[in-house]
Amino acid sequence: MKGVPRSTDSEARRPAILAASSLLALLLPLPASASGEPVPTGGDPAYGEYLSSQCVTCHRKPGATDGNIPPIVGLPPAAFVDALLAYKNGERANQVMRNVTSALGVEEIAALAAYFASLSTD
Amino acid sequence: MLPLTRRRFAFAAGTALAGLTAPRILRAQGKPRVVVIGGGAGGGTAAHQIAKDSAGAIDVTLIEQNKRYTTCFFSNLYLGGYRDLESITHGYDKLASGYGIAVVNARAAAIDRAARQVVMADGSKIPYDRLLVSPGIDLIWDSVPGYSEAASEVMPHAWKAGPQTRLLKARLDAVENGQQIVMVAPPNPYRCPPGPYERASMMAHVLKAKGHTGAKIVILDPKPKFSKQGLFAEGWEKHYPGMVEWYGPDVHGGIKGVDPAAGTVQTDFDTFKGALVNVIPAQRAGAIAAEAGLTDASGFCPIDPASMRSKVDEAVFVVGDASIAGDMPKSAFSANSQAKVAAMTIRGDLTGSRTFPARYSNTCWSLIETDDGVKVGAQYSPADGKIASTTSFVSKTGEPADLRRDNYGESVGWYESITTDIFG
Repeated sequence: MKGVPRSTDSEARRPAILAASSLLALLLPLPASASGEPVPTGGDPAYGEYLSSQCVTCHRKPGATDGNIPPIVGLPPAAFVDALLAYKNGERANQVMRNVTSALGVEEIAALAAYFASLSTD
Repeated sequence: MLPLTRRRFAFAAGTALAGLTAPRILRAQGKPRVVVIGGGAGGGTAAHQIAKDSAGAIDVTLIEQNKRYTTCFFSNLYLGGYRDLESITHGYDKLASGYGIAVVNARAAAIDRAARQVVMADGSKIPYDRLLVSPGIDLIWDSVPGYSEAASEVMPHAWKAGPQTRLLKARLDAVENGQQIVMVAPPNPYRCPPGPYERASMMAHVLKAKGHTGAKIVILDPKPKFSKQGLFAEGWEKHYPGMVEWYGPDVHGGIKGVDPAAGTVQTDFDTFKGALVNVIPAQRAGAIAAEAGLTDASGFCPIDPASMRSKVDEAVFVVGDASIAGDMPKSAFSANSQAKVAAMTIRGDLTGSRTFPARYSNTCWSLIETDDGVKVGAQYSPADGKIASTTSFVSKTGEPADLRRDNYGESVGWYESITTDIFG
């Protein structure tokens, strides 16, 4: 549970404060995604890496050919966040993604964006 | 003696203190060792994930008796003629060469939990600091009176993929117009809840494609209802009218047994004769888990829902079909998801790497007829001492054809991705 904001032990309190300020930042006007939603910043890329392990069960590596699930590695973070929010808001219809995003809060989406951004700058 | 005792005490105290601040396993020599039993969706994923994320800091050994592994998931598509067996069969070369995993293609005979070592069939021993057990299911042969491993050569189960799947396909392809297939479905809990009904759909597809619409598939079910029932019932009526009949216990009154020589299934209501009889018996965790004392009275393994750690041994984790995973179905997707939580926790134990709250997910796709795929899925997290569903969905009856076609396309993409996750 180390470093997880919802943890209550004293060692984790500092990250919790940092996370709270990140959440505040989310409410400020920031670079907008295509839908006009602010792109979450300040996410925890290590948390994002853990969360992303769920994504790769279905989303193939770039260059894979089978099926109709699009690759997501290398997507610009704004487009990535935009897509997640569109599923979460019900604007996009895919049942699996609506279900997945309904279990993702702002902290999780910010973490995923931070992780995927770190991949795209490699 | 006193100085010695005092030194012993000081050593013990130091060890206990170190335990409060440092990762639990700090080996004086060599790296911490993880051993994984079972190279399917749970074990393969866990070995891959631990080796990849620890980047050489943990020695990972994967024990799997088969050099090549045929996945149970998508084996119904082989029966239906959509895939060949080779396309659902995978090796472990990439896990060995790409991730430095020691792949041992031999049978694990026992787990010596006191000594923290796996005893192989040849008597050799493989020590571990953390053990992940993912043996899948064993079939309870006598749950259907008259059925046995020998009888499965006449009445295939094909609930573990491989030669049995090939046998069932050969027998299916030999069924003639006007003949009857009888399936004995399993009681809960079992591997792949929609599997028997997708299988019946694939059987009907093969028969219909040959013009054998006078053939019939009778499903004798010990359960009063089953996964995606409304969707399958709609699909059978639409694509295979009059070809698939499902009888629950209120109709057949109870499955009394099978007679392999006669090719019959006896129920309270009647005796059903099949040109092909497919018996899917009741199931329990793979034998090695029970023999190691990891199972409870249910025949499956209790785990901590926050980590997949065994409730009876903190050095052991159980994932996949063998575990008691609360609301999660026994599926490859579930096993893969559970393996990732276990892998994260094991790395935390051994190297002090960060851990996060457990999250689990599952989606099960089923094909009813060409381009008519349906799905069910959910997200899960630990709650009230079990893995609990937090949000879920299921396909609806009457959906448009393009959505059903997309569902099948998704399942094909998922297969490619998850098998990369498992086998590298």
